[in-house]
Order: sequence, then C-alpha cells, then structure tokens
Amino acid sequence: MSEKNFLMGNEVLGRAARAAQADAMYGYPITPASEIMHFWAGEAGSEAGHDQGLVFQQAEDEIGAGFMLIGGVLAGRRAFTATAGPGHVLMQDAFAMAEAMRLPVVAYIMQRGGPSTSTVIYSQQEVTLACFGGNGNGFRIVYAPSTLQELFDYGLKVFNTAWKYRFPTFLLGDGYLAKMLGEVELYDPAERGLEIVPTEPYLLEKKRGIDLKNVIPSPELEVRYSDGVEYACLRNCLNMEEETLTVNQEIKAAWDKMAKEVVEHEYVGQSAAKTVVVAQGIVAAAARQAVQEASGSVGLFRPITLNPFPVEALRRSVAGAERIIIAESAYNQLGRMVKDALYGQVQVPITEYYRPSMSILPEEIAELIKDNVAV
Amino acid sequence: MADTYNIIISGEGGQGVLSIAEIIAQAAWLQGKQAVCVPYFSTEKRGGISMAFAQISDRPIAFPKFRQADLWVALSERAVTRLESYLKAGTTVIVNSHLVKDLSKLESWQPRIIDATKIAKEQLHKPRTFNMVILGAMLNFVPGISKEGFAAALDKQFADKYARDPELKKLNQQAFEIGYELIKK
Repeated sequence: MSEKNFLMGNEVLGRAARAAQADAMYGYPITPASEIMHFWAGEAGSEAGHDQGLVFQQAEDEIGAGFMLIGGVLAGRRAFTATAGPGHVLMQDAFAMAEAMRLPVVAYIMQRGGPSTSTVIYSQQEVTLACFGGNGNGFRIVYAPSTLQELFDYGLKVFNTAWKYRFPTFLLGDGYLAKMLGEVELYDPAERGLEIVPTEPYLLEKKRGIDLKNVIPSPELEVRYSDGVEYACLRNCLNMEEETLTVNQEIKAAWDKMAKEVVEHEYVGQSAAKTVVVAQGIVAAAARQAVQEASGSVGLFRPITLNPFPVEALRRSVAGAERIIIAESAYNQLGRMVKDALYGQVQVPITEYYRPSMSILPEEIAELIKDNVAV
Repeated sequence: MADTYNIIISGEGGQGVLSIAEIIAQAAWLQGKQAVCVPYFSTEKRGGISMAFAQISDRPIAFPKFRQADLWVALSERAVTRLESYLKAGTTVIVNSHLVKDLSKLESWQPRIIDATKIAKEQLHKPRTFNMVILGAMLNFVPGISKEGFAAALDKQFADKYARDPELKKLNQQAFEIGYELIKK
C-alpha cells in the first residue's frame, strides 16, 4: 500500500532498491551516498533480509565494489552499488567492462564537489563521468531525478531498464537530494501496474529466457558443448582491431534500438516558448518553480535521461525560442550536450549559467529569465 | 519562494543542530505542512561547526537551500559569523547566550536571548535537553505549528525512545515548555 513518509533521500533510494526487488549490494562508503549502504546493510542483516537471501558486501574500495557488482550480475543477481565523487571515478573500470559485455549493473550516484576529493556536499560535475566515463563510447543509461519523489520512482525504474535492455543503468543524483529530508510517497510497484523485469544469470549453465547471443557482442561469446552440456564462454579481452570494431558496432546497434524506447524528458510551461530554460536534476526543480511563476513566454526543458539524450524533443522544444538559458552546477557539462544536440538547428543566443558545486535557487533562475525575456 | 518560511541554525558539532532542523521540519510536516530540511554537511564532528537549513510551506518546496532566513538561530559564537549573510530586515534572531557573548553585530535585529546550555544543565540536569529548550524558543515563531501539535509530533518521532525511556517524554516536554515561555513573543 502506498504511504507518505518523511525521509532522507538516501533512505528513499534504499527503499526503492527494496521495492525493485534488488537482492544484492556491493559498495564502499562515501559521503554523500553512504546512507544508501547503511540502509541496505540494515536490511540484509534483518530477519526478513536474511530469509530473502539479501546479499551485502562492503568491498576494500570502489574498484573492488565495482567488480563484485559485475560478479553479482553475471550470477543473475539483481545487484547494485551506490557511490559518489572519487568513488565514482574508481568504478569506471568496472562500468566500462559492464558496457563492453552488456551487463545490467545498477548504480546510484550522488554527486559531490569536484575535482578530486573536494567537498562532500553538492555538485553537478559528474554528468560527463556518469554518461561517458571509462574507455568506451558512453553506452550507459543515465537517469537524472529532480525531486525526492523521483528518487523513489527512478530508483525503482533503473533496475527494470537495466534488465530489460541489458545496459549499465545509473541514477545520477546529488548531495542535496541525498541528504535532504522531505515528503515521499512509497508504493509497491505492483499496485501501479509496474512489472518487475526478471533477472537471469549470464554464467552458470542454467536456462535463460534471453539467449546470450542476443545480448553479448558476438566476438565476446563462444558457446561450447561438452558431454551434452552447453557452456557459454565470455571474454572482454579481444585479439584483433576488427573484433573490437564489431563489438562496438553491435553494442551501438542495440543502443540505438533501446534509445528510442528509453529516452525521456519533461517540458513545463508555454509551448513554443520564446525563452527556454534547460536544466537537469535538482536544478531543474528550481527552474520548474521559476518557470511556473514567471510571466511571459517561458518554458523549461529537462532531460530526464541524460544518456541517451532527448535530442529530438529538445529540438522541438526550442523551435520557437528566441533565447535559451542553460543552468547547471558545473561548467558546461549539460551545456555541451545541449549544444551538441542543437548544432546547426537554431540560431538563437544561449545564456550559459555555470555554478560548479553551488546551489542554483529558483530566484536565480527567475532573474535569468527576467533579463532574457523579450519585452 | 515568498510564502516559504526559512529557518537556519548553526552551532558547534555535537550541539544537535541537525536534530533541531529535522525535528522542526518533520513536526511541521506531521501537521500537514510541506517541509524540507538539509544539513550543511562537511566533515563535521565535535570541534567543527555545523549548520542546517529547514523550510516550511503550504506547497511543495523545490530547492533545499535559500538566500535569507526568516528565523535565524546561532548556538555558538562562531555560528554568528557563519550565518551573518543569511540575515535580512525582519529576520527573527535567537541566540544561545551561554556561548554567544558578543551581540554587537546583531543589535538591529533585537535578538531573543536564551541561555539554553545553563537551563539544560542546571534547571533540567540533563545537558541533552539543550535541543528541546532551543526548539521551544523557536516554536514561538514558526507559522503553522502549535505547541500542542509539536508535542504530538514529538510523540510520533520519539515513539521508540519514549517506549524505552518514559522519563524522556516528560523531560522533553518540560524543556520545550521552558524554552517556549522564556522567548514568548
């Protein structure tokens, strides 16, 4: 039954993972994401968690946690991790392997100050890292919730997206969303008609609903038979450049097919607005309020999936714009994506408001809008 | 933005700054208000400085931070400097006079002064009631929370603790009554 609660963002995510029927977490504590792990440790150690076979393992560091997560997924666990900042950097090796082999690892990432150790508080400077980190091509799905309620909604959703499409899937939050307390409605996904996409092992010689040939790039998979038993042999180490090209082409083809179904955005305000604000995450929540209170022809475009980026929707949303405002708590990370999407499409000035690691309040967006609204 | 009541609290690590913000925000929420709070979290510990933001409103709150406070609570000398920029004309200022000796900067706000440290130690004989004394003082100003409603909210928030330690309920009630009466508008 759904109920309203007064909770901290990190606990909301822990509860979302439970509601999504996650059954394993591998992690290493780091502010501002630690309470997700604390919550899970409590669940795994409880009688119910024990009966349900919940797994919790604190690794020696984030490198270990990332690869344990891969192990869990290969074994068919609905597994996840939670991290931030420098820990997020350390997990990129494992995340790149997950991209390479189409392993549906799930991570809750709560951005903190950067570069490096910096502050433990808040930022939006892990957008590029979350979307394009690792030595690959950014084949990972990234959702950016903007409210505590969306931490629950998308904290649930990431598991389904990951297992349905078999791509690494991340929820990119931030230190404020992680640490703030407020009202959240928790619910059982079944009540809302949300089905739980099943998990299944990649390894182990068990029956699978989805043939690995339809998931793992062909150069990485060899099926062998011995004594009538089928063995799936996987590798992420390739010999030839051509094999690597094939791997990337096959992942790209699957990515493009998935992207059409997964890409998500929100638009608030007048359609064909003359001033369009583009913001993501919690800054989009501030912008939403500013746009709702603004007079004049104003709209907010908010990418919900930062990757794949809602390119077509953005182009449609700014079709009537005379000005575009990009606001983010980073230098040009969302900005770069927006400009890439709009290259050659629009001829209007773009105001870029970049405040790495600083709050962007509704008032600030309102001021930006006022300066820019054509009188 | 305008109809949201903004509260900022700062003090030394260990004084319970975050608990104060959490309790007041949750109490408001339990009485049907929208409320949000967030700590300014760093590597605070004893000896560090701690700070928290709370907002109470009749409608959903978009962002957990704000520029200027309606209610401004400094629990130690260092907190005064830390919070200075959040003052505006008409901000209600409460200080814990036990640790805030220099009020010169705050004169034009006519600060409400309460020695919560002393009350907790000498009158209530439990230093940990410090929080509740401050909360009682704050209650005079926070819109939409009645004293009775606050007591009821505490019963919910502290249900587990009260079950284990029934004395605590009495003590908390006493502490916030003292704080409330001392600063009464």
